[in-house]
Amino acid sequence: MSFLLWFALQFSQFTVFLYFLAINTVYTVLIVLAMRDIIRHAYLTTSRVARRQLAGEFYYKPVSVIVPAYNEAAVIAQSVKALTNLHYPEFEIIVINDGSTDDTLARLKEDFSLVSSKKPVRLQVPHEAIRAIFKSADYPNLIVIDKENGGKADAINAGINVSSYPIFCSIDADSILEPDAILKSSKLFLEDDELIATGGIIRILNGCRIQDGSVVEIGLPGSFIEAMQVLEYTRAFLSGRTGWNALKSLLIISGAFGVFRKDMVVAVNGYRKTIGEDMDLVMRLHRHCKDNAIPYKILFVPDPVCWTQAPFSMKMLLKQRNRWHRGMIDALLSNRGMILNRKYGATSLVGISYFVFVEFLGPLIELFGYVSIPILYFLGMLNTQFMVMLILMAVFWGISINVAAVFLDTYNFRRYKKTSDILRLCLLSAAEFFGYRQIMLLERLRATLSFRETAWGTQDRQVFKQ
Amino acid sequence: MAKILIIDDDETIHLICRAYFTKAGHTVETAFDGPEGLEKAAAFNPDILLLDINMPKMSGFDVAKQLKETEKTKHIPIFMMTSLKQASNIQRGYGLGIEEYITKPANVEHLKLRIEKFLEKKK
Amino acid sequence: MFDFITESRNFYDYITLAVLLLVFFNTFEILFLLYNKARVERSERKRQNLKRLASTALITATNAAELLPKPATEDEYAAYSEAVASVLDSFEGEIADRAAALITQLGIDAHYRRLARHRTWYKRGNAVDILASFRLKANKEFFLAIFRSETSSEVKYRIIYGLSRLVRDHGDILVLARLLSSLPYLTAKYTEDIFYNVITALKAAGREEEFGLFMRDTMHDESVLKMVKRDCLAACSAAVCEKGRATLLGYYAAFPGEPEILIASLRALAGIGDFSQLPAALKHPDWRVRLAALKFSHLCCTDMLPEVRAMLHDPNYHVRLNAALAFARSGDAGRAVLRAEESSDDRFAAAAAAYALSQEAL
Repeated sequence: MSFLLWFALQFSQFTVFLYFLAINTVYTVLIVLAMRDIIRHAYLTTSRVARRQLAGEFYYKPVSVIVPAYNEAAVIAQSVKALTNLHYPEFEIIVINDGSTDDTLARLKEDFSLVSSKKPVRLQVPHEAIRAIFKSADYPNLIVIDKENGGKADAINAGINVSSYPIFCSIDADSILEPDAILKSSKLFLEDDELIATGGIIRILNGCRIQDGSVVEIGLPGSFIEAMQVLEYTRAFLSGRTGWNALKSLLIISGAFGVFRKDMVVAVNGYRKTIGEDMDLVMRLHRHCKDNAIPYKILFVPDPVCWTQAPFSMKMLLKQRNRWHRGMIDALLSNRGMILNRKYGATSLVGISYFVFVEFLGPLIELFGYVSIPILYFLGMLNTQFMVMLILMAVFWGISINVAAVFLDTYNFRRYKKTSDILRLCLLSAAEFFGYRQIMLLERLRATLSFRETAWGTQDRQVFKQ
Repeated sequence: MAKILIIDDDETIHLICRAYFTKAGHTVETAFDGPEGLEKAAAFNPDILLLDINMPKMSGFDVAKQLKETEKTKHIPIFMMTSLKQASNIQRGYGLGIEEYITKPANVEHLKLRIEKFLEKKK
Repeated sequence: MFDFITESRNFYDYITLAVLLLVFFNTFEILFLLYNKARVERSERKRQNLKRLASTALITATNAAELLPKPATEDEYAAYSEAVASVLDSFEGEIADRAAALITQLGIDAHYRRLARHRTWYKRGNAVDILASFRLKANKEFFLAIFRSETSSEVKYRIIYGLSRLVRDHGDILVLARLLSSLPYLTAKYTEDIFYNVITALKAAGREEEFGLFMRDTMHDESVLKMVKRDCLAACSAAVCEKGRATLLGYYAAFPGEPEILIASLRALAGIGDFSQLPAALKHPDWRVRLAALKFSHLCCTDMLPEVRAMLHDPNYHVRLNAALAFARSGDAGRAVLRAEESSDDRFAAAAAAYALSQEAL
C-alpha cells in the first residue's frame, strides 16, 4: 500500500470528520444565538405593544410592491387582489408581465380594468424593453408593466424604474403577504437611516387554510416532500437567518420577500441578470457600502411574514434546488473578490466563508465521506466501530438542531394547533438523514458539476415557478 | 329596545359594553374582526354599529367601506370608536359615511346616552 | 496520525458517551417541546379566563378587588394588567377609576415596581411598559427615580414613554425634553409618539397652550435636536394643535435651511388651514420642500398657477409629475395649460403633461 494513498485516505477521513464537526458546531451556534434573540423579541413584543406600534401611522414612507410574473395566469389575479388589501397608508403595486407566453396579461386586463398609461419612466437600472404600461381603473395604485422576457431580475429592474417610492418590496407572484408585513418591515426603515435592506420570514403555504387572501389556520402538509420543506424552512429562517443576523453576516434576503431602499439598489445598478439574483444583490450591497465606507445595516426581523407555495413533486423540488445551488455558485463567483477578504469584515470572513466552505464545498466533502466508506472497507482499512459511532453522532446531533428549530417556532405567535403536527415534525427531523438529505446532496452536486455547461440563458424561461 | 353590534378585537370592550348596554335594556351582539362583523351585520341587522379601526384581518375603514357598499347593510348607522385621533383618520371615517367618530378613552355612560339620543332622533 | 487517536481505548468510550448523551438529549428535547406547547396553551387559556373574570368584576362590583383572587404567578399578574390596560385605553369615567383602584388594591402596581428593578434588562423593560399602560399619576416620581439609576438605554426609552402620559404642565414637558436629549435619538416614530402623548395629556387637562409655550421656548434651544423639533411639529399635526399657529409660522421662518422642519411645519399649518407659506416654499432649493408645498397647493388658491407652471420644468422628476397632476386636478384652466405644455421644447415637461392628461381621463 503506497504511503501516498494511505496518507490521502487518512487525510480525507480527517477532513470529513472535521467538516462534520464544523458544520454542526456552526448550526448549534446559530441556533443558540437565534434562541436568545427570539426569546427576547417575544418578551418585548407582546400583543399589546404590537398594537400600539401599529396605531398612529402618521409618519411613514410610501412603499412600492414589485411583483415579477411569468406565466402565472392561474394565480396572478388572486395574488394581486390580496395585495390590494395590504394595511398600509400609501403604497403602489407594480406587476411586471415578463413576456409571458400564456394569458397572464389578458387576465390582469380583464380582472382589473387596465387602461394604457403614459407614465414617464426614468431609466435608472438596465432591463429589457418595456412594451407598454397600464394602470388599473378600479385600483388607482395598481400598475402593470408589459415587457420583453428577461428573467426575474430583469423584471424587478423594470419595476424599480417605473416605481415612484423610496422603498420597494419584491415578492413572488404566488406568495401571500400578511396584511401588516409591509407595515412591520417598512417601519424599520423609518427608525434607522442606515438600514438598506431587510428580509422577513418565509413560511410554507401548503397545508394551511386560506380565507379571503389571508392565512387563517396553520397546518403541516400531508405529503412527505412538502412537510420536509417546512422543516427545512423553519431551520433556515428561524435559526439560520436570526443567527446570521446576530453575526452581521446576513447574505440572503430571499427573493420571495425582501424590502429594500431604492436609492441603494439603484446605486449598485439594480439586480444583475443571473439565477441567484437575490443573493447576488445582497452581496453587492455589502460590497458597495464597505467599499465606499457608507454606514449600513442589513437585517432580518422575525416579525413580518410571507407565505409561499412549495413544490409538491420531487421533480419540481429538485429543479428548484438545482437552480438555487447554481445561483449561489454564480453569486459567489462573480463576487469572488469578497471571499476571505479582511476588508469586508465579518460578512466576508464568517458569512461568505460559510457559503464557500459549507454550502459549496460541503456537498463534495460529504459525498467523499460516503464514497470512502466502501472503499476503505474493501481495503480493509475501515474502522467500522468508529464509522458507526460517527454516523450516529452526526444523525443525533442533526436531529437535536432540527427539533430546536421547531421549538423556536413556538415563540413566534404562529403555532401548530395539532400536537400530531409537532410530533410529525420531530419524526421528520430524524427522517431527513435517511434519504432526503442524500437526494438533495446529489442534486446539488449535479448542479455544481453542470454549472459550466448549462447556458443559464436558456434556463431563464423556467426560472420562475417550478 | 335597540340592537347594537360591536366590532372590536379586544374582548374587554365586548364584555364592558355588553354589560352596560344590556343593563339598559338593549340587545348586544359582538364580533372579533372584520369578516365576522360583516356576517353578523347582515344576519343580526342591528340598529347601530360600533366599529373599531385597529383590527388584525381587516381594518375598520375597510369594514365600513364594505358595509356601505352592500345592499343589506348600507342603512346601518356606524359609530367609529377608536384610539386614533389623527385628523386624517377622522376625515377618512366621515368620508366613508359614518355617523360619529368617538375617540377612546370614552365614557361608557355618555356613549350609551349618545347612542340612545341618536336613535331617538332617527325615529 | 488519525489512527493513533482512534486506536486508543478511551476515545471509543468518549464517542459512545457522546452518542448516548445525544440520544438522551434528543428524547428530552422532544418531550420538552411537547410539554412546552401544552404549558403555553394552558397558560393562555388561564390568562383569557382571568381577564374575563376581571373585566366582569369591574363592571358588576364597585370594589372588584374583593371578588377576585390575589395574583400569585407572573401569568396572573400579566392577565390582570392586560385587562386593566384594555379598560384604561378604551374607557374613562367610573369604570376607569375602578380599574385604577384595582391595580393598587391587588398589589399589581407594587409588583411591577419591584420588577422594574430586576437584574435582566428586558424584564425591567417589560415591567416599565406595563406600568406605563396604567397611567397612574402616582408613578411619575417613581419613573423619574428609576430613570436616574437605570443603566440600559432600552429601558430608559420606555420610562420616558411612561412619563409622557403623565405630563401636567410646562415644567413637566421641559423635564421630559431634557431627559430625552440625554439619550441618543431613537426614532422619529418614538419621538413623535412621546410628544403626541404629551399633547393629548395636556388637551385632556385643558392646558393645550402649555405645549405651544414649550415649543416657543425650545425653538432656539441648541440642546434639543433638530429631529426632535421636527417630531414635535409632526405631533402637532397629528393632534391638530389649533392654538399653535403663530408658533408654527415661527418655526417655518426660523429654519430656512432645514427641509425636514420646513416640511413638518407646512404639513402642520395645512392641517389647520394656513397656506400662507406655500408660495415661498414652492421656490425652495430643496426638492422635497417644493414637493410638499406642491401637494397642498391645490387646496390653497388659484393665483399660484404661474409658479406651479414653472415647476413643470423643474429638474426633479417627482416635482414635475406632481406639478402636472396638480394642474390636472385644477379643472379646465389647468388642463388647458397642460395641453399647451404637451408641445413644449422641454421633453420632460411634455411627457409629464401628457401623463397627467391621460390620468385625468380615467
